[in-house]
Amino acid sequence: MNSNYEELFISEAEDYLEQISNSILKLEKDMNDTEAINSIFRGMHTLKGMAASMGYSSITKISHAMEDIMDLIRNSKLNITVDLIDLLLKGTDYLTSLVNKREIDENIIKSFLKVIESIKTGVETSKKIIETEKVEEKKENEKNITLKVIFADDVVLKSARAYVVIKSLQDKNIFINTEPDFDSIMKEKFGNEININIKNVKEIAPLIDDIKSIPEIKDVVVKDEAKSDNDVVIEKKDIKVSLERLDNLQNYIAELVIERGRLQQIAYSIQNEDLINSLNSASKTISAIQDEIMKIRMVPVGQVFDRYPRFMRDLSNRLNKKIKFEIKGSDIELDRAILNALADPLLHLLKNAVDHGIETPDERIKNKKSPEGYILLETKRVKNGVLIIVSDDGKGLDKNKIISKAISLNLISEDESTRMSDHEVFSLILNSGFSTKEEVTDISGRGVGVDAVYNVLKHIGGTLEISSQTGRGTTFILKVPLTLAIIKALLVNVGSEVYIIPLTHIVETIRINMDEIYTIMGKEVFILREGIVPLIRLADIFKSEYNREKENFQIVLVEVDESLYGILVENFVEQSEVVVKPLKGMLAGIPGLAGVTILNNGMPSFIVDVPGIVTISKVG
Amino acid sequence: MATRVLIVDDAIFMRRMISDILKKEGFEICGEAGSGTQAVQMYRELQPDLVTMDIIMPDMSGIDAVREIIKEFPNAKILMVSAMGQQSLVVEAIQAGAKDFVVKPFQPSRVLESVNRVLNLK
Repeated sequence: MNSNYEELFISEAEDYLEQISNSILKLEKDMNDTEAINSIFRGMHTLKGMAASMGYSSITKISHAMEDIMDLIRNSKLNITVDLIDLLLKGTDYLTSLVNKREIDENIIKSFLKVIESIKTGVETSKKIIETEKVEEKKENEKNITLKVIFADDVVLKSARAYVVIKSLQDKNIFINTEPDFDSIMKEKFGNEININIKNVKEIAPLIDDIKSIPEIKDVVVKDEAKSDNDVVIEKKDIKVSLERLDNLQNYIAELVIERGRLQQIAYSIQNEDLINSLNSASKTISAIQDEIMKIRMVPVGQVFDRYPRFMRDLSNRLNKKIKFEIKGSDIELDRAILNALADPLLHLLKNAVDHGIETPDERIKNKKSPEGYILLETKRVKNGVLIIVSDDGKGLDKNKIISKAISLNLISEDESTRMSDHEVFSLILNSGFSTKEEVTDISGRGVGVDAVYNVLKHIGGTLEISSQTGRGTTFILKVPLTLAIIKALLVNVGSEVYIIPLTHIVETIRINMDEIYTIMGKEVFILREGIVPLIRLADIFKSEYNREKENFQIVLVEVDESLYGILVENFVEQSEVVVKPLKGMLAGIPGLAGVTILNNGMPSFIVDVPGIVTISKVG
Repeated sequence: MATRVLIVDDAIFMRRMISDILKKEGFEICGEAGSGTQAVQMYRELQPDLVTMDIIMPDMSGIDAVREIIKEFPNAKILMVSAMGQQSLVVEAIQAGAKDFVVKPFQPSRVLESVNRVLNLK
């Protein structure tokens, strides 16, 4: 496993565990604290997912068991007692030790899990039989073995050679699949080794000898799936800096940028040449530092995404699904904090795609689809951000199911449901606690999926779009900003208000006269180099007062979705760097606003969401 | 009793080469066939312990010959002899039931390695 995630995993898991133990302590004080219960539940759920994708089986098992307990509590099927609190704290201690690579006697873990199991069975007697069956079935699947087959350096007809190995395992009826997948192997798209998943065999040694006897096979080794949580070696090529430190540094720089602005105002107002010059050179240095910090924060998405293929393989095996998983654009860089925040949400989406999206091979054949499903995780650079697209060619979202669930949750009325567009229907699954898959699985959990993803995205200033076609598949498009914090922007004014337009959208600025504005189909436009450009009066969008009858205006020409729009303002104030602060509370929902900042004079000013106002102008 | 091998190749030169390599190691060359059809016939008559099979041959290809033989004798041990660049044909032959392959030009030791492995298969 790549050491990048190890570090990431440890630091993040520690945070979650801290949050969990705080919540347990809160719960001890007030046993009705539902927020604490939910926080423990979610924490355990996330930790379980993280540990599972790292292959840390003990952590996965314990957190899963504790998640189950919390679920019972959450649904009032289990009463909180002092003993139970002790048990939860003990489990958290075990997890903390395991996360920090401290060994725990396996028997201790076993007996802990047994206690939890007995608590669960105490409440879940009716479900017991079904569940044990399920568990056993799973165990059977989990015993798969992965063989790493290494080819000799002088191997000829590599694909055919690999096929000899595969065929010999097929003849023994133990072959499951390979990594890379079979097609890639047949196209010689692999290096000097392949991984082959086979069913469990009683004695592995003769099998290995058998494969080794095939000519041009250098070696065969068993890859240990359930590798011990302890054998972790962290490579140290570069020094690692905690994200917190970088955040601090960036915040200080942000303060410095604001202070610089104030100083510049003062310098210009007292017209001190020396001060202005000195400030200018200091400015340059500040910008350089800012750039450097930005760069340090940027990491290729592959750093996190590279752990998914392994996870997807294990998962599809476990669910008996055939899936081709592809990652595109993994060299695209993203702010580390954003990437970290997205790691789990994306895992949720991928899990969903495998678990709920892709059908079983039989079902797919029945529907005249290739038995192998396809899941793509693609990262694309776009202006002002990055698109991360998770798409599958599975069965698509079930509109009717979503609608009936939404009605039963009182999210919409039956009447409303008939008037909703597909897009609106799909957006319903972003509501908290929404999940159409009734049963609980080890993989996707209890529908903490898509809404959790959405919350994370909102938090980092991103958006989530869902499209789906019955029988054709589902696509999630996550749009995330490249980085947080500071943007370059143009400050404009309309009436007494100052607005901020991010430079990333701006093509150029022009000046036009009143008589150059025409009206076509009820919309104002102007002519620019023989093209017709729609006009957007910023003041109208935000209902501010200004003098409409002025002789000439300034236009900020912006580009959105490859079309040009002219934003009409009264004056340009200045070009500046502003610190973006997210909108909170009542302001958060206002369309057309992307954030707020504090100007050099200490006054707050709104940052315009350019694509947002374009949309508003089209509707309005 | 020596292990009996049937060598199938349309080129006499290749048959000679393979035959020399195997004879040196004490194998008995019980027959030589120059085409796929001949190979199938001779297999029926001789029921050898091992067949080395060329892929591209006049009338019936080595792959078709493998299919015919395996149909009648599912436990037949056939080693394909392929040229470079015939990867997909080799895969097809193995799918049809051939147990292994060697690629021309080959080292004697490499041929023997494959021969021994195929013979050791149960």
